[in-house]
Amino acid sequence: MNHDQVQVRALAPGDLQDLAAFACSAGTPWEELVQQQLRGPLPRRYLAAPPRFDGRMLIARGPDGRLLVVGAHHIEPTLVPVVGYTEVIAVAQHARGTLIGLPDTEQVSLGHFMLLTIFQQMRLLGRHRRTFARIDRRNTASLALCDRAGLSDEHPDPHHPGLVQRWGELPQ
Amino acid sequence: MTVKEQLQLVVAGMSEAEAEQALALVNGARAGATPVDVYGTAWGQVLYGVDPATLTATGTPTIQIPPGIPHIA
Repeated sequence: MNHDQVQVRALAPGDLQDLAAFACSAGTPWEELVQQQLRGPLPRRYLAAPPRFDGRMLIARGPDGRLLVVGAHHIEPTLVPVVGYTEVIAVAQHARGTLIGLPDTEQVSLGHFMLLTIFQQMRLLGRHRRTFARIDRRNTASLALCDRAGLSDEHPDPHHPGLVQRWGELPQ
Repeated sequence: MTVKEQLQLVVAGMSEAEAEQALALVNGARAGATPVDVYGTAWGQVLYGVDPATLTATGTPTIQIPPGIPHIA
């Protein structure tokens, strides 16, 4: 699939119905958690996010209108400039394995495409150049995605022993 | 014109979907609840306890954004 066939935009209330049936889990605990959150409270949490967190959920649909991938990020307003935190990247089960063709580069996975779209948005919004995600230590697929996308600096998560933080630096 | 009257004018110009989103924002703000992430950590608390060195930009990007990545405002 070519990149211009994927329509990415901000979440709108009209997307809630599709998200309530969104399937992104193959049964692992970390996928089940995200699927449950996306089907439940997470989208409304982002729609109603207090301005100081600037919560943004992005959805991408294919040419047939089906939901392909969801991403969500907000700011951790501790520093100036504020730090962007990628909370969720979730690829629809039916779209797993889909590659997105980009000009002048190799194809990327849907999850990688959404993560890059989030990074692009963070850059445009003037976020802190350091940015991060939290990953379940057992989630080797997401850790590999972080490596490919440039979130390669790993640190223990101070709040949860089962998680690691993956940090990287945005381009200017 | 009072603030409530101004608000009514703004709402009158919204689509139903825009009004629904605005209502969700108002309800969230009035509730005053701090959101939590998918792991149960409160937004705004996630960086607590992180080594400050982690937050220091080196000036050398590790992330490359290739052409073709959408610009979402």
